[in-house]
Amino acid sequence: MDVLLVERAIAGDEEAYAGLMAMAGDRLLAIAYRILRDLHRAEDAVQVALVNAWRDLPTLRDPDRFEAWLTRILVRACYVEADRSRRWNANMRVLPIDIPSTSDPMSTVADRDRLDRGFRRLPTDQRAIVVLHHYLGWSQPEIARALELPIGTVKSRLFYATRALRAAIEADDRATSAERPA
Amino acid sequence: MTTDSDLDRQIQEYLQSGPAELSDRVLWAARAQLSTTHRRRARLAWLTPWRNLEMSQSTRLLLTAGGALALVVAIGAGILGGTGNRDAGQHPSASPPTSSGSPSNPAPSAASSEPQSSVFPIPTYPAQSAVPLTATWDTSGGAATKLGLPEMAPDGRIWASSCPESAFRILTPAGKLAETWGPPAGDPHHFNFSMPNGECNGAVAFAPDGGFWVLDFGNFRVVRFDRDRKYLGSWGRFGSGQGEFAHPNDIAVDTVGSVFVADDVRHEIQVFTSDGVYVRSVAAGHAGPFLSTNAEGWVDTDLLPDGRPGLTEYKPDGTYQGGIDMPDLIPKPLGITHDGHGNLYVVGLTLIDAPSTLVRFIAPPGGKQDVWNAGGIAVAVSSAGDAAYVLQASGETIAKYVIPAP
Repeated sequence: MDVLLVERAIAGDEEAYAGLMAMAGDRLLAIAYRILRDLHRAEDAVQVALVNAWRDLPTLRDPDRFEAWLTRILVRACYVEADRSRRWNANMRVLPIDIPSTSDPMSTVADRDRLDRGFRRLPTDQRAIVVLHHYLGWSQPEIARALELPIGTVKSRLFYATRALRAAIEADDRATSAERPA
Repeated sequence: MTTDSDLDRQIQEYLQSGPAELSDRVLWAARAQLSTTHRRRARLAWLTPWRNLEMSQSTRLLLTAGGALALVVAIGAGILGGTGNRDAGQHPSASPPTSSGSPSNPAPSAASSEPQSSVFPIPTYPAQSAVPLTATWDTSGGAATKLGLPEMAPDGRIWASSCPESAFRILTPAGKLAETWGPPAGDPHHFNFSMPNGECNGAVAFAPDGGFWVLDFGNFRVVRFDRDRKYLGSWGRFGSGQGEFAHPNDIAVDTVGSVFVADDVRHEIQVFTSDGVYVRSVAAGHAGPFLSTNAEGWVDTDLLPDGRPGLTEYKPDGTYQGGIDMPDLIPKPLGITHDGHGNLYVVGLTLIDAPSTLVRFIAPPGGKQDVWNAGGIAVAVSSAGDAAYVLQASGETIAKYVIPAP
Protein backbone atom coordinates (compact mmCIF):
# COMPACT_ATOMS: atom_id res chain seq x y z
CA MET A 1 0.00 0.00 0.00
CA ASP A 2 1.31 3.44 -0.91
CA VAL A 3 2.15 5.16 2.37
CA LEU A 4 2.15 8.57 0.72
CA LEU A 5 -1.39 8.03 -0.46
CA VAL A 6 -2.39 6.99 3.05
CA GLU A 7 -0.81 10.11 4.52
CA ARG A 8 -2.59 12.31 2.00
CA ALA A 9 -5.87 10.56 2.76
CA ILE A 10 -5.35 11.06 6.49
CA ALA A 11 -4.91 14.75 5.75
CA GLY A 12 -8.29 14.79 3.99
CA ASP A 13 -7.41 14.27 0.32
CA GLU A 14 -10.46 12.52 -1.19
CA GLU A 15 -8.66 11.76 -4.45
CA ALA A 16 -5.91 9.97 -2.57
CA TYR A 17 -8.45 7.99 -0.63
CA ALA A 18 -10.30 7.11 -3.85
CA GLY A 19 -7.02 5.66 -5.08
CA LEU A 20 -6.64 3.63 -1.90
CA MET A 21 -10.22 2.38 -2.26
CA ALA A 22 -9.56 1.23 -5.80
CA MET A 23 -6.39 -0.57 -4.69
CA ALA A 24 -7.93 -2.21 -1.64
CA GLY A 25 -11.42 -2.91 -2.99
CA ASP A 26 -10.83 -6.34 -4.51
CA ARG A 27 -9.01 -7.60 -1.44
CA LEU A 28 -11.71 -6.33 0.89
CA LEU A 29 -14.44 -7.94 -1.18
CA ALA A 30 -12.54 -11.23 -1.17
CA ILE A 31 -12.35 -11.20 2.63
CA ALA A 32 -15.92 -10.04 3.18
CA TYR A 33 -17.33 -12.60 0.77
CA ARG A 34 -15.49 -15.42 2.47
CA ILE A 35 -16.81 -14.35 5.86
CA LEU A 36 -20.40 -13.65 4.82
CA ARG A 37 -20.73 -16.15 1.94
CA ASP A 38 -23.03 -13.78 0.07
CA LEU A 39 -21.84 -11.41 -2.64
CA HIS A 40 -24.38 -8.64 -2.04
CA ARG A 41 -23.90 -8.59 1.70
CA ALA A 42 -20.17 -8.62 1.16
CA GLU A 43 -20.47 -5.62 -1.15
CA ASP A 44 -22.60 -3.85 1.44
CA ALA A 45 -20.01 -4.57 4.12
CA VAL A 46 -17.18 -3.29 1.92
CA GLN A 47 -19.05 -0.09 1.14
CA VAL A 48 -19.73 0.54 4.83
CA ALA A 49 -16.13 -0.26 5.72
CA LEU A 50 -14.76 2.14 3.11
CA VAL A 51 -16.92 4.98 4.39
CA ASN A 52 -16.19 4.19 8.04
CA ALA A 53 -12.48 4.06 7.28
CA TRP A 54 -12.63 7.49 5.70
CA ARG A 55 -14.45 8.76 8.80
CA ASP A 56 -11.88 7.26 11.17
CA LEU A 57 -8.72 7.83 9.13
CA PRO A 58 -7.60 10.90 11.11
CA THR A 59 -7.24 8.62 14.14
CA LEU A 60 -4.81 6.29 12.32
CA ARG A 61 -1.38 7.07 13.74
CA ASP A 62 0.80 4.71 11.75
CA PRO A 63 0.20 4.80 7.96
CA ASP A 64 2.18 1.57 7.62
CA ARG A 65 -0.59 -0.23 9.49
CA PHE A 66 -3.30 1.00 7.13
CA GLU A 67 -3.96 -2.42 5.60
CA ALA A 68 -4.41 -4.23 8.92
CA TRP A 69 -6.40 -1.31 10.28
CA LEU A 70 -8.71 -1.36 7.26
CA THR A 71 -9.14 -5.10 7.62
CA ARG A 72 -10.30 -4.63 11.19
CA ILE A 73 -12.89 -2.08 10.09
CA LEU A 74 -14.06 -4.46 7.40
CA VAL A 75 -14.39 -7.37 9.82
CA ARG A 76 -16.52 -5.20 12.09
CA ALA A 77 -18.68 -4.18 9.13
CA CYS A 78 -19.12 -7.89 8.39
CA TYR A 79 -20.30 -8.49 11.96
CA VAL A 80 -22.92 -5.76 11.56
CA GLU A 81 -23.99 -7.00 8.14
CA ALA A 82 -24.29 -10.57 9.37
CA ASP A 83 -26.37 -9.44 12.32
CA ARG A 84 -28.58 -7.34 10.09
CA SER A 85 -29.10 -10.24 7.70
CA ARG A 86 -29.85 -12.63 10.52
CA ARG A 87 -32.54 -10.40 11.98
CA TRP A 88 -34.07 -9.85 8.58
CA ASN A 89 -34.11 -13.52 7.77
CA ALA A 90 -35.61 -14.36 11.13
CA ASN A 91 -38.75 -12.43 10.31
CA MET A 92 -39.06 -12.64 6.56
CA ARG A 93 -40.99 -15.54 5.18
CA VAL A 94 -39.42 -16.35 1.87
CA LEU A 95 -42.23 -17.07 -0.50
CA PRO A 96 -41.86 -19.28 -3.55
CA ILE A 97 -41.00 -17.54 -6.75
CA ASP A 98 -40.24 -18.82 -10.20
CA ILE A 99 -37.61 -16.30 -11.22
CA PRO A 100 -34.08 -17.66 -11.43
CA SER A 101 -31.77 -16.55 -8.64
CA THR A 102 -28.64 -14.79 -9.77
CA SER A 103 -27.40 -13.77 -6.37
CA ASP A 104 -24.90 -16.39 -5.55
CA PRO A 105 -23.24 -18.41 -8.30
CA MET A 106 -21.51 -20.35 -5.57
CA SER A 107 -24.75 -21.71 -4.15
CA THR A 108 -24.97 -24.77 -6.38
CA VAL A 109 -21.34 -25.52 -5.72
CA ALA A 110 -21.81 -24.85 -2.04
CA ASP A 111 -24.63 -27.37 -1.84
CA ARG A 112 -22.16 -30.03 -2.90
CA ASP A 113 -19.47 -28.89 -0.55
CA ARG A 114 -19.72 -30.44 2.87
CA LEU A 115 -17.38 -27.90 4.38
CA ASP A 116 -19.71 -25.16 3.37
CA ARG A 117 -22.47 -26.44 5.59
CA GLY A 118 -20.19 -26.45 8.57
CA PHE A 119 -18.72 -23.05 7.76
CA ARG A 120 -22.10 -21.39 7.43
CA ARG A 121 -23.05 -22.65 10.89
CA LEU A 122 -20.08 -20.88 12.49
CA PRO A 123 -20.61 -17.60 14.32
CA THR A 124 -19.35 -14.63 12.32
CA ASP A 125 -16.48 -13.91 14.72
CA GLN A 126 -15.16 -17.46 14.25
CA ARG A 127 -15.58 -17.23 10.48
CA ALA A 128 -13.49 -14.06 10.46
CA ILE A 129 -10.64 -15.75 12.30
CA VAL A 130 -10.74 -18.75 9.96
CA VAL A 131 -10.63 -16.49 6.90
CA LEU A 132 -7.80 -14.33 8.18
CA HIS A 133 -5.80 -17.40 9.19
CA HIS A 134 -6.44 -19.77 6.31
CA TYR A 135 -7.13 -17.36 3.45
CA LEU A 136 -4.83 -14.44 4.23
CA GLY A 137 -2.30 -16.67 5.95
CA TRP A 138 -2.04 -14.45 9.02
CA SER A 139 -0.55 -15.90 12.17
CA GLN A 140 -2.57 -15.87 15.36
CA PRO A 141 -0.56 -12.98 16.88
CA GLU A 142 -1.03 -10.98 13.66
CA ILE A 143 -4.78 -11.56 13.84
CA ALA A 144 -4.85 -10.58 17.49
CA ARG A 145 -2.98 -7.36 16.76
CA ALA A 146 -5.10 -6.46 13.75
CA LEU A 147 -8.45 -7.14 15.41
CA GLU A 148 -7.37 -5.78 18.79
CA LEU A 149 -8.19 -9.07 20.48
CA PRO A 150 -6.33 -10.95 23.19
CA ILE A 151 -4.30 -13.77 21.70
CA GLY A 152 -6.23 -16.24 23.85
CA THR A 153 -9.49 -15.18 22.23
CA VAL A 154 -8.06 -15.71 18.77
CA LYS A 155 -6.76 -19.14 19.72
CA SER A 156 -10.03 -20.25 21.26
CA ARG A 157 -12.11 -19.01 18.32
CA LEU A 158 -9.88 -20.79 15.87
CA PHE A 159 -9.96 -23.93 17.99
CA TYR A 160 -13.76 -24.02 18.22
CA ALA A 161 -14.16 -23.20 14.53
CA THR A 162 -11.77 -25.93 13.48
CA ARG A 163 -13.47 -28.43 15.76
CA ALA A 164 -16.88 -27.52 14.32
CA LEU A 165 -15.63 -27.84 10.74
CA ARG A 166 -14.07 -31.21 11.52
CA ALA A 167 -17.32 -32.35 13.10
CA ALA A 168 -19.26 -31.24 10.03
CA ILE A 169 -17.00 -33.19 7.71
CA GLU A 170 -16.94 -36.31 9.83
CA ALA A 171 -20.69 -36.20 10.41
CA ASP A 172 -21.12 -36.09 6.66
CA ASP A 173 -18.78 -39.06 6.33
CA ARG A 174 -20.82 -41.03 8.83
CA ALA A 175 -24.06 -40.10 7.13
CA THR A 176 -22.67 -41.17 3.78
CA SER A 177 -21.52 -44.50 5.22
CA ALA A 178 -24.87 -45.09 6.85
CA GLU A 179 -26.75 -44.43 3.63
CA ARG A 180 -24.54 -46.74 1.59
CA PRO A 181 -26.23 -50.13 1.01
CA ALA A 182 -24.52 -53.08 2.63
CA MET B 1 -10.50 -39.54 10.77
CA THR B 2 -9.30 -36.34 9.10
CA THR B 3 -5.79 -35.27 10.04
CA ASP B 4 -5.07 -31.69 11.02
CA SER B 5 -3.09 -31.04 7.86
CA ASP B 6 -5.84 -32.53 5.70
CA LEU B 7 -8.41 -30.37 7.41
CA ASP B 8 -6.28 -27.24 6.97
CA ARG B 9 -5.80 -28.06 3.29
CA GLN B 10 -9.54 -28.61 2.79
CA ILE B 11 -10.36 -25.33 4.49
CA GLN B 12 -7.81 -23.48 2.37
CA GLU B 13 -9.20 -25.03 -0.81
CA TYR B 14 -12.72 -24.19 0.28
CA LEU B 15 -11.74 -20.56 0.81
CA GLN B 16 -10.04 -20.21 -2.55
CA SER B 17 -13.12 -19.57 -4.67
CA GLY B 18 -14.73 -16.16 -4.55
CA PRO B 19 -15.44 -13.01 -6.53
CA ALA B 20 -12.52 -11.59 -8.46
CA GLU B 21 -13.10 -7.87 -8.25
CA LEU B 22 -15.19 -5.27 -6.55
CA SER B 23 -17.92 -3.70 -8.65
CA ASP B 24 -17.35 -0.08 -9.67
CA ARG B 25 -20.88 0.55 -8.39
CA VAL B 26 -19.74 -0.09 -4.82
CA LEU B 27 -16.73 2.19 -5.22
CA TRP B 28 -18.90 4.95 -6.68
CA ALA B 29 -21.43 4.58 -3.89
CA ALA B 30 -18.71 4.79 -1.25
CA ARG B 31 -17.08 7.71 -3.04
CA ALA B 32 -20.39 9.56 -3.13
CA GLN B 33 -20.63 9.41 0.66
CA LEU B 34 -17.15 10.73 1.43
CA SER B 35 -17.88 14.42 1.12
CA THR B 36 -20.88 14.18 3.47
CA THR B 37 -19.16 11.98 6.04
CA HIS B 38 -18.15 13.79 9.19
CA ARG B 39 -14.56 12.77 9.90
CA ARG B 40 -13.29 12.07 13.36
CA ARG B 41 -10.69 14.38 14.75
CA ALA B 42 -7.33 12.89 15.55
CA ARG B 43 -7.24 14.19 19.09
CA LEU B 44 -10.33 12.17 19.91
CA ALA B 45 -8.12 9.09 19.81
CA TRP B 46 -6.75 10.17 23.18
CA LEU B 47 -10.24 10.08 24.60
CA THR B 48 -10.53 6.40 23.74
CA PRO B 49 -7.34 4.89 25.12
CA TRP B 50 -8.74 1.37 24.92
CA ARG B 51 -8.51 1.71 21.13
CA ASN B 52 -5.01 3.15 20.94
CA LEU B 53 -2.75 0.43 19.60
CA GLU B 54 0.41 2.33 20.30
CA MET B 55 0.00 2.08 24.05
CA SER B 56 0.85 -1.01 25.98
CA GLN B 57 -2.08 -3.02 27.19
CA SER B 58 -1.42 -2.06 30.82
CA THR B 59 -1.33 1.66 29.94
CA ARG B 60 -4.57 1.39 28.03
CA LEU B 61 -6.16 -0.43 30.94
CA LEU B 62 -4.89 2.14 33.43
CA LEU B 63 -6.15 5.12 31.42
CA THR B 64 -9.51 3.48 30.80
CA ALA B 65 -9.96 2.64 34.47
CA GLY B 66 -8.88 6.16 35.43
CA GLY B 67 -11.41 7.69 33.06
CA ALA B 68 -14.17 5.49 34.42
CA LEU B 69 -13.25 6.46 37.98
CA ALA B 70 -13.29 10.15 37.10
CA LEU B 71 -16.73 9.74 35.57
CA VAL B 72 -18.06 8.04 38.69
CA VAL B 73 -16.62 10.82 40.86
CA ALA B 74 -18.15 13.46 38.61
CA ILE B 75 -21.57 11.85 38.82
CA GLY B 76 -21.25 11.43 42.57
CA ALA B 77 -20.40 15.10 42.96
CA GLY B 78 -23.56 15.99 41.12
CA ILE B 79 -21.81 17.60 38.19
CA LEU B 80 -23.73 15.50 35.73
CA GLY B 81 -26.65 14.61 37.93
CA GLY B 82 -27.64 18.11 39.13
CA THR B 83 -31.30 18.99 38.95
CA GLY B 84 -30.97 22.76 39.27
CA ASN B 85 -32.33 23.74 35.90
CA ARG B 86 -33.64 20.52 34.46
CA ASP B 87 -36.96 21.95 33.38
CA ALA B 88 -35.31 24.72 31.45
CA GLY B 89 -33.51 22.22 29.28
CA GLN B 90 -36.49 20.10 28.50
CA HIS B 91 -37.22 19.65 24.87
CA PRO B 92 -40.37 21.47 23.78
CA SER B 93 -41.83 18.32 22.33
CA ALA B 94 -41.70 16.69 25.75
CA SER B 95 -44.22 19.18 27.15
CA PRO B 96 -47.69 17.82 27.74
CA PRO B 97 -50.15 18.75 25.03
CA THR B 98 -52.42 21.67 25.81
CA SER B 99 -56.01 21.95 24.75
CA SER B 100 -55.56 25.43 23.34
CA GLY B 101 -52.64 27.52 22.19
CA SER B 102 -51.28 30.27 24.41
CA PRO B 103 -51.13 33.82 23.00
CA SER B 104 -47.38 33.57 22.66
CA ASN B 105 -47.56 30.22 20.96
CA PRO B 106 -50.81 30.00 19.06
CA ALA B 107 -51.94 26.67 17.72
CA PRO B 108 -51.89 26.31 13.94
CA SER B 109 -55.10 27.57 12.45
CA ALA B 110 -55.67 24.34 10.55
CA ALA B 111 -55.50 22.36 13.75
CA SER B 112 -57.68 24.73 15.75
CA SER B 113 -60.41 24.63 13.13
CA GLU B 114 -60.63 20.86 13.32
CA PRO B 115 -61.87 18.57 16.07
CA GLN B 116 -59.16 17.74 18.57
CA SER B 117 -59.51 14.05 17.85
CA SER B 118 -57.83 12.77 14.74
CA VAL B 119 -59.59 11.71 11.60
CA PHE B 120 -58.50 8.18 12.38
CA PRO B 121 -57.38 8.13 16.01
CA ILE B 122 -54.24 6.34 17.02
CA PRO B 123 -55.39 4.43 20.06
CA THR B 124 -52.00 3.10 20.94
CA TYR B 125 -50.65 6.57 21.61
CA PRO B 126 -53.57 8.74 22.80
CA ALA B 127 -51.17 11.32 24.28
CA GLN B 128 -49.91 12.06 20.81
CA SER B 129 -53.19 12.00 18.94
CA ALA B 130 -52.89 12.67 15.28
CA VAL B 131 -53.53 16.12 13.91
CA PRO B 132 -55.38 16.44 10.64
CA LEU B 133 -52.93 18.16 8.36
CA THR B 134 -55.32 20.43 6.56
CA ALA B 135 -58.68 20.80 5.02
CA THR B 136 -57.66 24.12 3.63
CA TRP B 137 -56.45 23.20 0.21
CA ASP B 138 -56.68 25.95 -2.29
CA THR B 139 -59.75 24.69 -4.10
CA SER B 140 -60.81 27.93 -5.69
CA GLY B 141 -63.51 27.23 -8.20
CA GLY B 142 -65.32 24.93 -5.86
CA ALA B 143 -64.05 21.65 -7.26
CA ALA B 144 -62.25 19.32 -4.90
CA THR B 145 -58.64 18.78 -5.76
CA LYS B 146 -57.60 15.25 -6.60
CA LEU B 147 -54.15 14.59 -5.28
CA GLY B 148 -51.45 12.16 -6.26
CA LEU B 149 -48.74 10.58 -4.15
CA PRO B 150 -47.32 12.86 -1.46
CA GLU B 151 -43.56 13.07 -1.04
CA MET B 152 -41.40 14.94 1.43
CA ALA B 153 -38.69 17.16 -0.05
CA PRO B 154 -35.30 17.48 1.65
CA ASP B 155 -36.39 20.89 3.00
CA GLY B 156 -39.27 19.24 4.89
CA ARG B 157 -42.09 20.48 2.68
CA ILE B 158 -44.62 18.05 1.23
CA TRP B 159 -45.21 17.86 -2.48
CA ALA B 160 -48.42 16.32 -3.82
CA SER B 161 -49.43 16.27 -7.45
CA SER B 162 -52.72 17.94 -8.17
CA CYS B 163 -54.87 16.97 -11.09
CA PRO B 164 -56.81 20.00 -12.24
CA GLU B 165 -53.72 22.08 -12.85
CA SER B 166 -51.24 19.21 -13.44
CA ALA B 167 -48.86 20.81 -10.99
CA PHE B 168 -47.59 20.19 -7.48
CA ARG B 169 -49.21 21.54 -4.35
CA ILE B 170 -46.30 22.26 -2.01
CA LEU B 171 -47.20 22.39 1.67
CA THR B 172 -45.35 23.34 4.79
CA PRO B 173 -45.12 20.64 7.49
CA ALA B 174 -47.96 22.48 9.27
CA GLY B 175 -50.23 22.06 6.27
CA LYS B 176 -50.15 25.53 4.82
CA LEU B 177 -50.11 25.75 1.06
CA ALA B 178 -46.76 27.35 0.29
CA GLU B 179 -47.02 27.37 -3.46
CA THR B 180 -48.25 25.56 -6.53
CA TRP B 181 -45.54 24.73 -8.98
CA GLY B 182 -45.20 23.17 -12.41
CA PRO B 183 -44.14 24.24 -15.89
CA PRO B 184 -47.01 26.34 -17.28
CA ALA B 185 -49.44 25.08 -19.92
CA GLY B 186 -47.89 25.48 -23.35
CA ASP B 187 -44.41 24.78 -22.03
CA PRO B 188 -43.02 21.60 -23.63
CA HIS B 189 -42.31 20.27 -20.15
CA HIS B 190 -45.80 20.92 -18.80
CA PHE B 191 -46.97 17.92 -16.77
CA ASN B 192 -50.11 15.91 -17.41
CA PHE B 193 -51.32 14.22 -14.26
CA SER B 194 -54.63 12.99 -15.77
CA MET B 195 -55.52 10.15 -18.05
CA PRO B 196 -58.42 10.45 -20.53
CA ASN B 197 -60.37 7.94 -18.43
CA GLY B 198 -60.27 10.29 -15.47
CA GLU B 199 -57.46 8.62 -13.57
CA CYS B 200 -55.32 11.06 -11.67
CA ASN B 201 -51.76 10.56 -10.55
CA GLY B 202 -48.30 12.06 -10.53
CA ALA B 203 -45.31 11.52 -8.30
CA VAL B 204 -41.93 12.98 -7.49
CA ALA B 205 -38.72 11.63 -6.01
CA PHE B 206 -35.95 13.73 -4.48
CA ALA B 207 -32.20 13.32 -4.33
CA PRO B 208 -30.57 14.40 -1.07
CA ASP B 209 -29.25 17.57 -2.76
CA GLY B 210 -32.77 18.71 -3.69
CA GLY B 211 -32.68 17.68 -7.34
CA PHE B 212 -35.80 15.77 -8.31
CA TRP B 213 -37.48 13.55 -10.88
CA VAL B 214 -41.18 13.94 -11.73
CA LEU B 215 -43.24 10.98 -12.90
CA ASP B 216 -45.32 12.67 -15.58
CA PHE B 217 -48.09 10.10 -15.44
CA GLY B 218 -50.23 11.19 -18.41
CA ASN B 219 -47.26 11.77 -20.71
CA PHE B 220 -45.63 8.41 -19.85
CA ARG B 221 -42.31 10.02 -19.06
CA VAL B 222 -39.89 11.02 -16.33
CA VAL B 223 -38.74 14.65 -16.19
CA ARG B 224 -35.60 15.61 -14.31
CA PHE B 225 -34.91 18.95 -12.61
CA ASP B 226 -32.07 20.27 -10.52
CA ARG B 227 -32.52 21.77 -7.04
CA ASP B 228 -33.30 25.17 -8.60
CA ARG B 229 -36.07 23.53 -10.68
CA LYS B 230 -34.06 23.94 -13.86
CA TYR B 231 -35.05 21.37 -16.47
CA LEU B 232 -32.29 18.80 -17.06
CA GLY B 233 -33.93 16.28 -19.38
CA SER B 234 -36.65 13.68 -19.75
CA TRP B 235 -37.19 10.17 -21.04
CA GLY B 236 -39.99 7.69 -21.67
CA ARG B 237 -43.05 7.17 -23.83
CA PHE B 238 -45.94 4.72 -24.04
CA GLY B 239 -44.86 1.20 -24.91
CA SER B 240 -43.57 -2.13 -23.72
CA GLY B 241 -39.86 -1.71 -24.47
CA GLN B 242 -37.03 -0.65 -22.26
CA GLY B 243 -37.53 2.90 -21.06
CA GLU B 244 -41.20 2.86 -22.06
CA PHE B 245 -44.23 2.84 -19.77
CA ALA B 246 -47.78 1.48 -19.94
CA HIS B 247 -49.10 2.73 -16.61
CA PRO B 248 -46.31 4.29 -14.57
CA ASN B 249 -47.55 4.71 -11.02
CA ASP B 250 -44.71 5.51 -8.65
CA ILE B 251 -41.11 6.71 -8.69
CA ALA B 252 -38.20 6.54 -6.26
CA VAL B 253 -34.51 7.38 -6.26
CA ASP B 254 -31.69 5.95 -4.17
CA THR B 255 -28.69 7.76 -2.74
CA VAL B 256 -26.50 7.13 -5.76
CA GLY B 257 -29.09 8.60 -8.11
CA SER B 258 -30.58 5.44 -9.59
CA VAL B 259 -34.20 6.09 -10.58
CA PHE B 260 -36.86 3.42 -10.08
CA VAL B 261 -40.26 3.52 -11.83
CA ALA B 262 -43.07 1.10 -10.95
CA ASP B 263 -45.50 0.21 -13.72
CA ASP B 264 -48.60 -1.68 -12.62
CA VAL B 265 -49.70 -2.74 -16.09
CA ARG B 266 -46.33 -4.11 -17.08
CA HIS B 267 -45.91 -5.28 -13.46
CA GLU B 268 -42.27 -4.40 -13.29
CA ILE B 269 -39.93 -1.81 -11.87
CA GLN B 270 -37.54 -0.27 -14.37
CA VAL B 271 -34.25 1.04 -13.05
CA PHE B 272 -32.47 3.93 -14.77
CA THR B 273 -29.38 5.98 -14.22
CA SER B 274 -30.06 9.50 -13.03
CA ASP B 275 -30.15 10.76 -16.61
CA GLY B 276 -32.41 8.04 -17.94
CA VAL B 277 -30.23 5.26 -19.26
CA TYR B 278 -32.06 1.96 -18.76
CA VAL B 279 -30.19 -0.35 -16.38
CA ARG B 280 -32.44 -3.30 -15.56
CA SER B 281 -35.93 -4.41 -14.66
CA VAL B 282 -36.74 -5.54 -11.13
CA ALA B 283 -39.63 -7.77 -10.07
CA ALA B 284 -40.59 -8.34 -13.70
CA GLY B 285 -44.08 -9.82 -13.69
CA HIS B 286 -44.43 -9.34 -9.93
CA ALA B 287 -44.24 -5.60 -9.19
CA GLY B 288 -47.10 -3.73 -7.60
CA PRO B 289 -48.11 -0.12 -8.29
CA PHE B 290 -46.11 1.39 -5.40
CA LEU B 291 -42.46 1.20 -4.49
CA SER B 292 -39.82 2.69 -2.26
CA THR B 293 -36.07 2.32 -2.01
CA ASN B 294 -33.84 2.63 1.00
CA ALA B 295 -30.46 4.34 1.06
CA GLU B 296 -28.74 1.14 0.01
CA GLY B 297 -30.89 0.66 -3.09
CA TRP B 298 -33.07 -2.15 -1.72
CA VAL B 299 -36.48 -2.00 -3.39
CA ASP B 300 -39.84 -2.69 -1.77
CA THR B 301 -43.09 -3.13 -3.64
CA ASP B 302 -46.60 -3.98 -2.55
CA LEU B 303 -47.37 -7.20 -4.37
CA LEU B 304 -46.27 -10.69 -3.51
CA PRO B 305 -44.71 -12.81 -6.23
CA ASP B 306 -47.82 -14.97 -6.39
CA GLY B 307 -49.99 -11.93 -7.12
CA ARG B 308 -51.52 -11.49 -3.68
CA PRO B 309 -51.26 -8.19 -1.81
CA GLY B 310 -48.25 -8.07 0.47
CA LEU B 311 -44.82 -6.59 0.79
CA THR B 312 -41.87 -7.84 -1.21
CA GLU B 313 -38.26 -6.77 -1.07
CA TYR B 314 -35.57 -7.02 -3.72
CA LYS B 315 -31.83 -6.51 -3.48
CA PRO B 316 -30.23 -3.65 -5.40
CA ASP B 317 -29.49 -5.89 -8.36
CA GLY B 318 -33.10 -7.07 -8.50
CA THR B 319 -32.65 -10.40 -6.76
CA TYR B 320 -35.71 -11.46 -4.78
CA GLN B 321 -35.07 -11.20 -1.05
CA GLY B 322 -38.36 -12.16 0.59
CA GLY B 323 -41.97 -11.27 1.16
CA ILE B 324 -44.38 -10.54 4.00
CA ASP B 325 -47.99 -11.59 3.81
CA MET B 326 -49.89 -9.34 6.21
CA PRO B 327 -53.65 -9.77 5.69
CA ASP B 328 -54.39 -8.91 9.33
CA LEU B 329 -52.43 -5.67 9.28
CA ILE B 330 -53.19 -4.30 5.83
CA PRO B 331 -55.46 -6.36 3.57
CA LYS B 332 -54.61 -4.07 0.63
CA PRO B 333 -51.16 -2.50 1.12
CA LEU B 334 -50.61 0.51 -1.13
CA GLY B 335 -48.26 3.38 -0.35
CA ILE B 336 -44.71 2.60 0.78
CA THR B 337 -41.93 4.88 1.92
CA HIS B 338 -38.78 5.01 4.05
CA ASP B 339 -37.67 7.56 6.61
CA GLY B 340 -34.12 8.83 7.00
CA HIS B 341 -33.20 5.93 9.28
CA GLY B 342 -34.19 3.30 6.73
CA ASN B 343 -37.39 2.32 8.55
CA LEU B 344 -40.12 1.19 6.19
CA TYR B 345 -43.71 2.53 6.29
CA VAL B 346 -46.71 0.96 4.57
CA VAL B 347 -50.33 2.19 4.42
CA GLY B 348 -53.35 0.62 2.82
CA LEU B 349 -57.03 -0.09 2.82
CA THR B 350 -59.36 -2.83 3.96
CA LEU B 351 -61.03 -5.13 1.46
CA ILE B 352 -63.96 -2.69 1.23
CA ASP B 353 -61.59 0.26 0.69
CA ALA B 354 -61.91 1.69 4.18
CA PRO B 355 -58.74 3.01 5.78
CA SER B 356 -56.72 0.17 7.24
CA THR B 357 -53.50 0.79 9.13
CA LEU B 358 -50.13 2.45 8.96
CA VAL B 359 -47.36 -0.03 9.73
CA ARG B 360 -43.74 0.83 10.46
CA PHE B 361 -41.11 -1.86 10.11
CA ILE B 362 -38.09 -0.79 12.11
CA ALA B 363 -34.87 -1.26 10.18
CA PRO B 364 -33.56 -3.76 9.75
CA PRO B 365 -36.96 -5.25 8.98
CA GLY B 366 -37.87 -7.99 11.34
CA GLY B 367 -36.69 -6.25 14.47
CA LYS B 368 -39.92 -4.52 15.49
CA GLN B 369 -43.18 -3.33 14.03
CA ASP B 370 -45.47 -0.44 14.99
CA VAL B 371 -49.09 -0.39 13.87
CA TRP B 372 -51.44 2.60 13.94
CA ASN B 373 -55.02 2.98 12.85
CA ALA B 374 -54.09 5.48 10.16
CA GLY B 375 -54.63 3.88 6.78
CA GLY B 376 -54.87 5.54 3.41
CA ILE B 377 -53.68 5.16 -0.13
CA ALA B 378 -50.24 6.76 0.01
CA VAL B 379 -47.83 8.05 2.62
CA ALA B 380 -44.87 10.36 3.07
CA VAL B 381 -42.89 10.54 6.31
CA SER B 382 -40.50 13.05 7.80
CA SER B 383 -36.84 12.19 7.67
CA ALA B 384 -36.81 11.76 11.46
CA GLY B 385 -39.77 9.38 11.28
CA ASP B 386 -41.90 11.43 13.69
CA ALA B 387 -44.66 12.54 11.32
CA ALA B 388 -46.62 10.70 8.67
CA TYR B 389 -48.64 12.38 5.91
CA VAL B 390 -51.29 10.00 4.66
CA LEU B 391 -53.30 10.58 1.49
CA GLN B 392 -56.88 9.71 2.37
CA ALA B 393 -58.96 7.20 0.50
CA SER B 394 -60.91 9.99 -1.18
CA GLY B 395 -57.69 11.16 -2.81
CA GLU B 396 -58.63 14.71 -1.82
CA THR B 397 -57.00 15.32 1.55
CA ILE B 398 -53.85 14.47 3.41
CA ALA B 399 -53.85 13.81 7.14
CA LYS B 400 -50.81 14.39 9.27
CA TYR B 401 -50.14 11.96 12.08
CA VAL B 402 -47.65 12.74 14.80
CA ILE B 403 -46.10 9.42 15.63
CA PRO B 404 -43.42 8.41 18.10
CA ALA B 405 -39.98 8.63 16.59
CA PRO B 406 -38.43 5.20 16.14
